[in-house]
Amino acid sequence: MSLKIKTLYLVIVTFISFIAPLSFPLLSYAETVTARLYQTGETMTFIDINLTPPAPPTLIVEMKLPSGSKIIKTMPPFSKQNKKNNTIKWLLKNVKDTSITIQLVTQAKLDLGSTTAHIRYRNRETGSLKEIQADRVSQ
Amino acid sequence: MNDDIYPGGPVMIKIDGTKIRRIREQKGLTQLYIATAVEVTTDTVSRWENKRYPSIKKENGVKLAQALEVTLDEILDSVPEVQPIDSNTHQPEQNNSADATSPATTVTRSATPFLSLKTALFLTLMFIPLFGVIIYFIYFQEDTVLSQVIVKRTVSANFIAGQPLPVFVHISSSTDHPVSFILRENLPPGATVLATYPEISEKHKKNNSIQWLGNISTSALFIYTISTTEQFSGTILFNGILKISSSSKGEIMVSGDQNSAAGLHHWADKNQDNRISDEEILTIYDLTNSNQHAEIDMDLLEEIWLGDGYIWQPKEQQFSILE
Repeated sequence: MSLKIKTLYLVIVTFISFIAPLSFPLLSYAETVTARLYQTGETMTFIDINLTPPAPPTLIVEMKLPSGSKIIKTMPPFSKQNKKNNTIKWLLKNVKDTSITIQLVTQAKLDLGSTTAHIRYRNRETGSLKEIQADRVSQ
Repeated sequence: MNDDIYPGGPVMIKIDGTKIRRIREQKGLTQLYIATAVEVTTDTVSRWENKRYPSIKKENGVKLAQALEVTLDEILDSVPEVQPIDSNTHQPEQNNSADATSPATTVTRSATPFLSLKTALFLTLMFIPLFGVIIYFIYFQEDTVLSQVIVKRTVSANFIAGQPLPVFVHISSSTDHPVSFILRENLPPGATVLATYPEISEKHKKNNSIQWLGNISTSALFIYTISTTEQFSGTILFNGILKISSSSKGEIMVSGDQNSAAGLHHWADKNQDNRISDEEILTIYDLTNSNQHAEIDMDLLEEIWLGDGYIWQPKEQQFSILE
């Protein structure tokens, strides 16, 4: 084996053994929760939440509705409603699926531009509180 | 003389020590003089004369003959046969140039040395770290195991006297094999255990401690819920140890939270603002992993979280939840 090939081999082995694993912690800090907010039909609004490992087992979803919105029902049922500031919250426990869909049925069509959905969870690596906002998607 | 009998090694000749001593003494020369002339030590010259080094390099033989003012043949051993020199019995001289020999007129080459100095040095340098690593693993591996295990306690900084207070102890191991352990938590004076998860292996009444025995591969959570009397005031202190079966050092202290003070705030209300926030309830759910075994009243927690706040009523010994 020539000296060049030997050197190249050593460099590759060193890289694989020592340098490459250093990037793994960075990869594990990639966002594990994503969400989108969209409507179908006149009165149905959905929040799709996608989870990738290491996904948090507990999530809080807070939805802020335009003032005057009337909720007919939600699936799953919401945990908390604050009528003063038009917010509803879900506490999702023991989450094991890779995707969750929350369905909201309102009396009238919601103005999606004035509606927000935030998802809060604890980062499993750092233990810090994370909050993401669902992306509004037109169907 | 045949100088090329054993190609590859230095040419060796066999000298007669008795002759050398006699000639030297006849000419009134000292061993120091001879040693200086041949560039060897006086000890070497003495060993040549005492026949302890009968074979020497031809180069040194020539110098020795010159120093003694005789021909080379005059100091050679008179045994006529040519004898190859066995490298295993070959005796070195005590300087950088000389070497050994035996019988006479015979000039031989020594066999190639088994290891050259450079090779020996290289191997030595290679083996020192290797031995170091072996010794490290033999003597320090147990401590390495200990350093790969982390045991941390999480307990709220505040609690209400007479109400349950859960304590979480998390053990994580990065060893590549399961580790046997004993986790011992010494209970604060006056505290009683209401529940444990998993079930404890032993409870020592004497020193008021509880312990778990087990085997851990990656991580494990231990929860115990304690309670003090309703009259308790002040701070309770926690301490505990983790023993690893293979460790020579024996034990490590449980790190993390060490104390909790009695007050008027729910243990989950970390910032003591009379509310349980999203972050606080998420923390509790993550800590317990939604485990209900340690009698943590999660329903009450959720109720407080759903409300706008709470107030502890000491007389009634209950929480009033604000809507």
